Amino acid sequence: MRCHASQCGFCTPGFVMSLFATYQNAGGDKSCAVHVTREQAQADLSGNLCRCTGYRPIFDAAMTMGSLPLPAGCKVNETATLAALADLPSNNPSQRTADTANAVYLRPTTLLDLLQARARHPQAQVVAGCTDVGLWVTKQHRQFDQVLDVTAARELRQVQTRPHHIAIGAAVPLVDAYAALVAERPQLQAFAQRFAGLPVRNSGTLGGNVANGSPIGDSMPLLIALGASVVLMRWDAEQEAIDSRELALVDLYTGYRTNVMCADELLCWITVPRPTSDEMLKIYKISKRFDDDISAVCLAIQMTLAEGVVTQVSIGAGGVAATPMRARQTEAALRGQPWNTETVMAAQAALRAEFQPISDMRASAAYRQTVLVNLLQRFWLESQGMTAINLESATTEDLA
Amino acid sequence: MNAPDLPMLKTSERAAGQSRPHESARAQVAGAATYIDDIPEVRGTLHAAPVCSPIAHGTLRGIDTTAALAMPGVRAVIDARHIPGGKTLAAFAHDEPVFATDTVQFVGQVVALVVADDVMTARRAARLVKLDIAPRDAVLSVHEAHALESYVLPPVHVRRGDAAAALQRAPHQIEGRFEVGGQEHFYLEGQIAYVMPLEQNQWWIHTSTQHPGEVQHWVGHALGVANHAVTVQCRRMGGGFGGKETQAGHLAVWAAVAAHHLRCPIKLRLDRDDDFLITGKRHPFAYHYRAGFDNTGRLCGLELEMLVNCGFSADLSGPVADRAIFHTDNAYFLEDVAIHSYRCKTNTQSHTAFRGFGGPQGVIVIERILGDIARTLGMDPLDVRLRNLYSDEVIAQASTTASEQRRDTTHYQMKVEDNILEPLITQLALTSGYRERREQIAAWNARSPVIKKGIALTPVKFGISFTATLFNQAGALVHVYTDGSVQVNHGGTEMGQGLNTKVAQIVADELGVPFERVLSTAADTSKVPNASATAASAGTDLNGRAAQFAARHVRDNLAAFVAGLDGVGAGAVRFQGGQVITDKSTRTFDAVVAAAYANRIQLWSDGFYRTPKIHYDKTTLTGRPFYYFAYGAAVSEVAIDTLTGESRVLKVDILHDVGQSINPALDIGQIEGGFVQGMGWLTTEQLVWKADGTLATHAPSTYKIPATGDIPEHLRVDLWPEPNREDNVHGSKAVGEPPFMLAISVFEALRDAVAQAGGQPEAMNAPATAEEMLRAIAPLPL
Repeated sequence: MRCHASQCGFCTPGFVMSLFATYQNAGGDKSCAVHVTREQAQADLSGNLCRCTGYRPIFDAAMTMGSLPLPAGCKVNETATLAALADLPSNNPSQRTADTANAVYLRPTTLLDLLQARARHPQAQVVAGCTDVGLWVTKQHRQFDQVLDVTAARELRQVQTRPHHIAIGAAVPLVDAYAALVAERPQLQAFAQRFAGLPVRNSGTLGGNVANGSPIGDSMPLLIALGASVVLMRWDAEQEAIDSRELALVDLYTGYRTNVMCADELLCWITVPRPTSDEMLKIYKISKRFDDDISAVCLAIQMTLAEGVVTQVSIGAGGVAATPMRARQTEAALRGQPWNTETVMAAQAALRAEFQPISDMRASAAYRQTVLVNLLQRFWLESQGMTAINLESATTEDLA
Repeated sequence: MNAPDLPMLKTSERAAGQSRPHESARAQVAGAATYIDDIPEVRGTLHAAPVCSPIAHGTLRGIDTTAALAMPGVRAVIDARHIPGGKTLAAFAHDEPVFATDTVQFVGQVVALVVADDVMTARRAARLVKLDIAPRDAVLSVHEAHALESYVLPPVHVRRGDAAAALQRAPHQIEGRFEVGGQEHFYLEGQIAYVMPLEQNQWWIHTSTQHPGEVQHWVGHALGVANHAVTVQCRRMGGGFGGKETQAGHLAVWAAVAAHHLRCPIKLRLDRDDDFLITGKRHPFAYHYRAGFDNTGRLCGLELEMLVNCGFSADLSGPVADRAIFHTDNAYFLEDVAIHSYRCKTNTQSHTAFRGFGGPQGVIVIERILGDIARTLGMDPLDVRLRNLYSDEVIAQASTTASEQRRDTTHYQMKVEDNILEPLITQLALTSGYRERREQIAAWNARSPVIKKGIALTPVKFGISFTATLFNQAGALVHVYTDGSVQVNHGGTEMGQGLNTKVAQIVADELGVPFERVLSTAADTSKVPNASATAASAGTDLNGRAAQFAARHVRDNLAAFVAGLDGVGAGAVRFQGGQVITDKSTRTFDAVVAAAYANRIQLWSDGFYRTPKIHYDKTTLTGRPFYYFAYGAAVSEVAIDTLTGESRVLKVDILHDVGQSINPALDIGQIEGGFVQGMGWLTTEQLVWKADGTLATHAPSTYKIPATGDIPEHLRVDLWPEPNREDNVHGSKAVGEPPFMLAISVFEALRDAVAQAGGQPEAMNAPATAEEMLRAIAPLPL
């Protein structure tokens, strides 16, 4: 209010809630108050839209959050709040397991219960954060009689670090899943933030993004390039045991939003190989708007060189076909070749020929194809030590 | 509440001129501000949802409601047969049916309304209504419409001098084509109306509208009742931007027809996707121009054809297209000029008012032409702009007998008397370091192979007043209650711009009471009748003055009363700081009010204002349509990625003329907000229609307004320190629309960067999406 950050006021409650989170995260007693930087403010407000102010006064307000007093008793006790929320009748799974023939909402708390529930209800719509399914309901007016919510299964809410890979449970929110990926590969930071606004990343899950399998979902190109696998599980009633299989992520998809999963199978884990010391990894997202936008094209490239020769390469691409794709022909044009301009040009030709993207409201086919090729050029230039050639990562100083 | 938690200002301090928080800021931040959907529902309220045509053009042969009516909770399907009064909307062109009857004319046209117990049921049932439509050929592009001479209104031609001859004589010529996209308003609060039947065929309507009077008129017409039987109220809108000038009327009429048939309250709140599909947007324009100029960059002649995509009906397209003509000069003297404006009819949404109202579409084309002239001559575009500004320079005359003419008269024969822009631009160029930065950028670009930067300074001169002279009138009521508290009501509406705050400041100063003592109340057709739309940036100019006059009448009554008590002249009575002061006494305002009431003095009054000096001939488009001009200029610096076409705005400096500001914080809010909205129009906000005429970008997922990540850290706004030279309320100037056009500096900076990258800036259309940029940098293979 003092910053004049509310004009028509309609977006204000949403901004106030985001600012409240900033305030809670930054505040505390005065001795440990954190200065809220503009970058922090931008990250915290990336999921809110305002049509009146142009945001400058809202930034001003956000950047005061760390210097506001947080009187005793005003700090939110997250554990207590979550417990209280869980006790609400609508959230308490013990009160929401109405398992009748017609209407089912199930939210099992263990993996075993979850898989058994899936076996009983193979037709149920599986949901996690509902960041897409929610729109099917509100916009497409679809109605689901049976809903199976995976988010309470405690085993699937974990990220496990193993010697050679990390395993991300299917119910891990995007914000935590990407934090785990960024911890090992810091260059993914900007991409992780651009994936979606913070509220969406807090509710959506990596498992949901992968299982949903949208050709323009941003996780898949990255995970394909990283050589990720998925673990599918089902309850085998005859053997009375959990049956599981693991396959490369790229092999999960069979067509536009279709996959190899059986009706009683659930995607439970995503395993991502850990980086080697000489891994070169870049991911590029092209969209109309910098934040909160769906990619026209997304390209992820992971490459390893030995003595100037490409020894390993994997490339994931989004927005180029009906499913997330691996650019196998382009990889073939690179693998075993010296990393030089001739190889890059050959790979660019392969990449141009490899996909026949469509034209839609996000971009034309010609643009998608050209940009893919140009992004390979960007990867080449960056591998040659050129900096500040990507507006996503360029700092104000780079551009000064 | 007028910000009661603020420390009390010194009693001598005036309310106007201060950066007061928005009068509802506290309530808005607390989530306590009421929008239409927050109003507690009356028992028996039913909810409606529209049934839209899925066909761009066709013959409507039948409506099958069986499946919809079979759905539990569905009460009725309402269509044209249920309209008791006029079946055509009472819009000025009378070319738009309330509900489509024999033909449908765009994808999204409303054919019927489903009414149900709850809104989701109504929306689901609306999808079950089957429309039997025989498709016909649809006109989807403005070029096709122009070729078929398919217009919603006749073409308009404005000429001065002999453009063809001037072009012939000119040492240089350029010719170009250019297209500018439309823009969705994306008010955060979607369109909504809540209609309640009262006794004896009277009607109460809550609606989110910029023009309650028009809603009243339209509803009365459709229901066949007189205007006095319809009351329309709007406390605030969650954003308007022109999108609720006429478009809110449609919803109110639809809901009213349903309420009339079912005799119960009806709420109609559009889903965001339906809002996109149904309502009009900013007019897309296509241009073809030929410009002649001399070696110094001065324009000699201009021929310009503007194809205006009006959609399927006229709506406000006439005045929008007119304003585009009026602003084709922007800040520049056009000596020999011919402008041809075609108001094309297409099978799309009926495009409507949007902040700037055609002005931006006029300004952007001349700025583009000047930018291209500069590049043709190898000049700094700023020098070309300065060279063409209006001034009092005498035009060289071939004949000495002719009366002396100066470069100070617009192509519509209005004299530009103030010429503020030259000093304003010069100052901005200095404070922003434009010249040095331009050199630095050229050097930087020489070192940077992939990222290229660009910079541009563009001015704006925007005419203030409704071009339709009759709308430039306003009324207000000021009520002083016996406890000394003050209520003000005026014909304007609050959409976030802070009109109510400014009006309360004006009234507070007129009565000499603290700002907190003045409460602005909801726009209401039963309080101030026949009010014009809150539009044309004129909200404060008109309503602020009317409220000032109303307050002055009350003050005069009180002054006469106190003068009688003290035996002094009424002119010697001063009102300030909550006190009423004469040479003989000092009384509190509240005490004077109580005593005046006891002595039967009138404590409330009306005020009326009409803008002076303006006149304008609708047929020739000449005269003085504007009371004054508001000015501004902006410098924008951008960076582009030549591999992908992505861009980023790096730095913005604005110097804008708001006259003597009534509330600098609110004015800066309008400037920044307008600028960023304009930036969206020219960069990421792309409307895409599919080949069958369906709008493909109809939700936040596909239509991209600026977000926090798009705002440059350096966004500096300074105010030009000079009052309005015309007698306007408190010496202020209008601010709602003019800053929108400052964003054209972003588009010109992007074109500068494309030029620096060796691309073709003259091939660039707007919006400059990454794809559009890359096409201009390096043509894409097909």
